Amino acid sequence: MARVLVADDVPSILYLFKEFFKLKGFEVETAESGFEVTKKLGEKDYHLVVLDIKMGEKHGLEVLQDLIKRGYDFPVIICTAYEHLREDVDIIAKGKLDVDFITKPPDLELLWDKVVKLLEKNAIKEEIGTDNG
Amino acid sequence: MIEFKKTSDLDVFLIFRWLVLLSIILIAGYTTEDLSSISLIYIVSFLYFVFNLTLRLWKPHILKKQVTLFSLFLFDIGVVSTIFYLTGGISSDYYIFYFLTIMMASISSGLGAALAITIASAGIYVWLVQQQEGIDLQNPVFLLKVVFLLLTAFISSLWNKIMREKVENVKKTEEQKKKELQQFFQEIINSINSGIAVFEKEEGDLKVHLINPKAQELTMGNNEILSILKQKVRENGKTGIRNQLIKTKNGRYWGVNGAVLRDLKGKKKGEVIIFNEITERKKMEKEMERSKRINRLGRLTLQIAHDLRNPLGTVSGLAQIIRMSAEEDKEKKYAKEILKASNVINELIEDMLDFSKDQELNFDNFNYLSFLKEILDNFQKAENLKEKNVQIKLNSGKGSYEIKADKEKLRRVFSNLINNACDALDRDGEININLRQQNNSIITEVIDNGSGIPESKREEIFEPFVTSKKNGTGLGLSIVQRIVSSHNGNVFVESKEGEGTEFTVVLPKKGGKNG
Repeated sequence: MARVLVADDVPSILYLFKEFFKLKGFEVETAESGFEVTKKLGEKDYHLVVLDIKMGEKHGLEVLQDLIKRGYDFPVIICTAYEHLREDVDIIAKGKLDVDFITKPPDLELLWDKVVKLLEKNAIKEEIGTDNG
Repeated sequence: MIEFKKTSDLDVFLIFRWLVLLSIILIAGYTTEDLSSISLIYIVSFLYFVFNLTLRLWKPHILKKQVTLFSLFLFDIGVVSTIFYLTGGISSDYYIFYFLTIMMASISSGLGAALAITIASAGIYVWLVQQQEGIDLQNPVFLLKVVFLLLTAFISSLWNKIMREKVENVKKTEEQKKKELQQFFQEIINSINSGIAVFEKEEGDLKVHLINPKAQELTMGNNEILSILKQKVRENGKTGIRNQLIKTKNGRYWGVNGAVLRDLKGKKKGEVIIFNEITERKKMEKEMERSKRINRLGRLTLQIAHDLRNPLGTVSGLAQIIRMSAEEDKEKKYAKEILKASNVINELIEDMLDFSKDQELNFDNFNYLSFLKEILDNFQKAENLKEKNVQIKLNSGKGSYEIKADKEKLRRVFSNLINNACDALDRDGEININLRQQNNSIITEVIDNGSGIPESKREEIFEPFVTSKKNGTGLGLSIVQRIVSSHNGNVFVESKEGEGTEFTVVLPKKGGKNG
């Protein structure tokens, strides 16, 4: 079963993503802060991370940099409404992580399309053995 | 020579001359030893007294004439000579009376008159001497006396001239100073960059007594402000106008201040008014006030929009989940309705964010005509236009329509304007989009023949949250205005209720402030 980590500091959004991914047959873990993301990543392996860019104590961008530093290579979906943040994310993640974006309020059908696309791409990557780590 | 400016000065001079000569005659008469002549001297003095008394009846302008004065001095010489004759001729010392007359002539009529009087005196004197004793050229005293007479004429004239020049110099300097001071004040009044108008009461009516060039410039072709000022001067009574703001019918604003003018008794006789046109300042203040208000509103709107986003995300997200997982059609339908409503709220949030965000522009060079065509193509397919069977027509003038602008922002402008036009239309309406160039700008008119904007709303139609639509948020046009003005452009509206509305967007070709 594919495992996803969803991070958002708004409980209702977190609940929404949890229900959605459960419906789609995922095993879902949630994190309410950037610190919790780091902690949870140490406990289990994940196939996908959904990251809110604006989280109270630790900014989503910092979390992203942290992920890259630690050598994770799972795809990340970032929730943001800000164009300029997209550019920042692209600069940080280019060549290191597969990243895509969704806006709030999330269009779940669009989200699902992106999830499928990212996971397929990742699966191919694994199949042809270009694993860097 | 002395100019007798005032009649009283002349009077004093004449009376002084009269009294001095009269007293000399009387003294001469009193002291003379030749008793047979005494009665004659008294007759002469009496006649002199009477003659001078009649002078009082002469008209001042005749007395003032140099000829009259000269004649008077000649007359005096005659009288003196008579006394001289009666008191013993050459042996008497009364020839000194001539000096007095000569001095007075030189003071009042200058060197020429003094010389003439001297020559006359000397002539008479010589004649008398010859008549009485015969001229003895061996007697130097006789010659000395004549020379003294001439010297007196010269010295007193010269002295008089010097004194007069001194006085005149002082007078001239004073006049010059006065003139300079007057000129100085005149220059100040002329150069002041404020209108100055002095109102004074003349024959019971208030009249404009003085008006400086700036005031003339300000009131050119517009006398309304002057008549208002006049009215204010009348109304404000004793205090004068204090920091008043006046709006004239043509929409111009004026700042006015006044100072009361008083006569010697302290009664108000008029007022000095300083006024300036402050229309531009007033406009700027209004604009600043508006932008402050919009900024405040923008911050509030941004906050609300952000706060709404998360709960709306949950609502619409869960509705999507219900729609995906529900087994019954009824549930799916409910979920669909929730989603529809959420989308409406989301559009509102987007509008609010668009309105409150700073308009950062990303400039591109593109062809404006093709860009508009592309927008219109999309609209032709739009459901709301199809439903109402609305026709859109694009009419463009010749020329190149290359422009530097933020394409996405302009897309927003025209989609808002066309959507508004569509909302204002009933079935089978028409939207005309006219495109033309003027100087370095592209002018786009979006014209519909719909319901029009009510007059009460027209002035504030670009204000946020003002709408004439039933279901509008009132943000669309304020977003339009913000985007257009961030391109250094302008947007205007003209509308007639029941006939339609025309929006005109003027955009500079070379981009706005960030371009």
